[in-house]
Amino acid sequence: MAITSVWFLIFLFIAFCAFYCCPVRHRWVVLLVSSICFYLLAGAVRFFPFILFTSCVIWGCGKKIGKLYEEQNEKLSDSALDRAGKRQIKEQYKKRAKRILMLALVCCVGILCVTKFTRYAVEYLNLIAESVNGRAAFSAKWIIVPLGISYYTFSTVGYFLDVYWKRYTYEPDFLRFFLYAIYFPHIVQGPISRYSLLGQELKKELKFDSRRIVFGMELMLWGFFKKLVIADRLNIFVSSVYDGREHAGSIFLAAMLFDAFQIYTDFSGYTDIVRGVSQIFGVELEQNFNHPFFAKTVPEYWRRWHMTLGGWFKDYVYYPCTISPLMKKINKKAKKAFSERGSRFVAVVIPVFLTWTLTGLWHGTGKTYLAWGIYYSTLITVSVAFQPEFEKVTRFFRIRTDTFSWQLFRMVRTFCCFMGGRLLTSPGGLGRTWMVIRNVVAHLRPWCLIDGTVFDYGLDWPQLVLAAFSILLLWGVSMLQERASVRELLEQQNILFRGIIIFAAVFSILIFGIYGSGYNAAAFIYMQY
Amino acid sequence: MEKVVEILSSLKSGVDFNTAESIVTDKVIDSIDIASLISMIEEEFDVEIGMEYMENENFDSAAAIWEMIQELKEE
Amino acid sequence: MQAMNKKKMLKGICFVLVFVLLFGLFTAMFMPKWSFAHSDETQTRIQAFYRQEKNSHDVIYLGASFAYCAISPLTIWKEQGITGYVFAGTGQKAWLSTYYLKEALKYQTPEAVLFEVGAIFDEKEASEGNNRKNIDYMRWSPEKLKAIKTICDNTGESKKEYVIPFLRYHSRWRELEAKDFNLRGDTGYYMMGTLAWQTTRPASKKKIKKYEAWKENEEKASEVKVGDRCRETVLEMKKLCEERGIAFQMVRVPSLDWSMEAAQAVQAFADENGIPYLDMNLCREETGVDWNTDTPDKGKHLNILGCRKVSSYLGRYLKENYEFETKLSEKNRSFWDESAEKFARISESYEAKGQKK
Repeated sequence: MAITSVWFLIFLFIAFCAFYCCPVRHRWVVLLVSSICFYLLAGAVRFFPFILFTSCVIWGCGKKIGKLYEEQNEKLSDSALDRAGKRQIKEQYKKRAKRILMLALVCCVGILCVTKFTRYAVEYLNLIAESVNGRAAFSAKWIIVPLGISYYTFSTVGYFLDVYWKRYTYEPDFLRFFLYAIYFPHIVQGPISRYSLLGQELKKELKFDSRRIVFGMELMLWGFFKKLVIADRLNIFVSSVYDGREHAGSIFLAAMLFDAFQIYTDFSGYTDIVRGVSQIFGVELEQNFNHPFFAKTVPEYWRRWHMTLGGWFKDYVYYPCTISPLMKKINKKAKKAFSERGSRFVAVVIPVFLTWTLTGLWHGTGKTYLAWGIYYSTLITVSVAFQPEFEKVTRFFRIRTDTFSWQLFRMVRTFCCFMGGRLLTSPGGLGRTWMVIRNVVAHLRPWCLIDGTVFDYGLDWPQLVLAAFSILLLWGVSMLQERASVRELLEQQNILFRGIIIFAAVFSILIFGIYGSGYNAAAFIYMQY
Repeated sequence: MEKVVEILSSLKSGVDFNTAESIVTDKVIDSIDIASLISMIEEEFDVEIGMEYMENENFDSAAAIWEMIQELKEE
Repeated sequence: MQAMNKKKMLKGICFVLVFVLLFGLFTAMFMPKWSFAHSDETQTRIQAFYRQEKNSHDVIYLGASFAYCAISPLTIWKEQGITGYVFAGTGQKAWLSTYYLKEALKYQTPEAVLFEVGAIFDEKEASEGNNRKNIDYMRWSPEKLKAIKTICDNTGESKKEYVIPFLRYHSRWRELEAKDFNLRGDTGYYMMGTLAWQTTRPASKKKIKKYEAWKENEEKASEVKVGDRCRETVLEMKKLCEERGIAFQMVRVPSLDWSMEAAQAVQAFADENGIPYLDMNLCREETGVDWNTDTPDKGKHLNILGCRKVSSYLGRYLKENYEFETKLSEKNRSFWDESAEKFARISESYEAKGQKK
């Protein structure tokens, strides 16, 4: 049951009716039941034990640790203890907590790794087997990748780490916790939630508010527009160009450009839809995108793109790494061995590389994603470490950094960096990436963009015009969104105007959307993570 | 607290950290700055910042940082 | 609070109503218009059928394109005073003809039903285009849903796209033309289902020779046989007619796309099941079809001249074999007379044009 299917809308309608017919106090139960049904329908029954298992383990371990800390606090409040005694108790409990931490992480992150890596390992082993025996030895059929495993593992592990690091108290009610884990709007592709935020949202009084519901539907509308009209249309062109054959360099460049917009509208469109859905039920999900193409530097870009993933890695990998004892040791050694600048460089580069490599591997296994991780680690490290040099260069060329043209340049530069990253993973293998680069450099053939070749990739003249126009519309709305809430602005207008805009949106999606036998709807890109 | 302000200023120029508020929430300093900040604070004040202190509130102004340091010293 | 809620409910209901209205409008706009001068007039034929006076037709003719190219109820009216409608469709398979029969019997009470058997050996479904042409403009009924289910189960097409045509046709936004905005269809159509094909492309001499050399095949059962699916559906047609006391028979109009084996196979099937069968390919002198002037596509179908000849013959056949009690209102009667005159004039002027060359 894809989120852009009629079935999902029917499901949503039923859940909506059940939700608002239920008394306020028990509405969260409707959400829980709907989420379980959704998981069984959109995923499969055989996936269900996995999410149940992870949730039980995390919740159980969280409770254990929480109780452990309560015990510890009780013991520490004993005024008869001196400093040394207190320290001893703390050490003791720290050890016990650590054991539970290991158990939880091994179980849950272990399952995630197994599902991610086994497929890759099987392929690799089969390659070997084929070269030895002439045929594949292992079947990949038994590999199970439960729906949303990357997302729910991160949401739950995040909660657990918060409890372990005493940043949050444990949740005593298992069903409440399970709702958080399996909550259907965010289970398939995120946003990756925090228990401190989403958990609280789910405990609120979920009242009926027609204004909020209409806002939610408007957000969904915008999401559907981005996904069905822009992303799926661009996907026709991009997947046609990235089919493994050689094409003109200029065509590849066009594909790179379209690919950037395609992945953005696909993923952010999906996020808008699920946030809108959640808003209809009164639950706020975190934002995942903040107009990333307006970013001026690569680090800023990563604060605007897939924000919840970046945030998760920052809070649960980057910071822990930075203040870990090992890192501190390294820093001390670096301080002795290098200059201040050098040691600062070391202090930055190691956590950044670790974080970004893991981020790459979260997206996919294999050389391409490793390369992707290293690509961004390098960019970010360079951007930070060579700041003084960059400033020297701008001063040397007497570039005025307060001008619009300079900001525009930085945005374009960042966009190009993003396209570079996509170039590693989008064409389907590093070999193909090399082929693309080769063609862009050696066989640019810019006339291919105007002599009609560009119409050979699934989009004819009217379609390309529509694609271009819709991207312009996207840009316009994004600019507006940076300054104000579009939905609130719309609300303030006359009802006729608001009605026209909404009907225009609805019918643009119905008419120009890529669905039905006329096309084949593209699958959401981030779903296999 | 002047030392804290000094450290902050060495990371980011052009900001008056005596009065600046929400420096983390408003992205005045980013996560990479914070990493450097932590190591500098730990060295300067001889404290150990554990994960339970890694919250925006503790770093959002020079005063907040100073308070956190005092708390750490008491342990 | 109450007033606020009422106002909001009202807004919501208005929104839904406007949406449904616009959706209907767009659906009508986006559906392909199969009217005259575009293709086969399938849409026009269906829409005109629903406009017919109830119980005014003596005969209902069913079948595929062979039927509507070769049979002109107007000619039969002029010569024999028998009314009828060719309720057939492009590439229509036998089981869809059964569905058309069920539909026709809701509005008409004919004395006879003639099923043109050109498609009787086709066991497989038609292409999506033909299915769409035959189904899209039919009125909604449980039978339509059943027909959609049958087609989709066999071809894998999407049922919901038949039920909500907009889902299928929305991608036509690039192809919209002026005629798509004509939502009413061709209301001036008067030909009672006939397609007056005004083109002549003579059949090749080879084909004509083959046709003229038809021989009775005395060997045992040839490979050509009526398949199970068609057998079942034709028997269903027979049953439907019998239940209402309507005479049912099969007919084959002249076509070079036929063979002696085919004629014999259908005759055998007819004999087996007690269905009268008229194969006009076996009465060539009587019909008088000339394959040099009377075909628009080298012998498969008949053009307006062939149609006139065949209809004359068919009219005589019907008069000899059936009794008709034609019930027409005065207005309708003069409409039939006028329309028959118009049709006769068209065919005469076409004939004259041909002879001038």
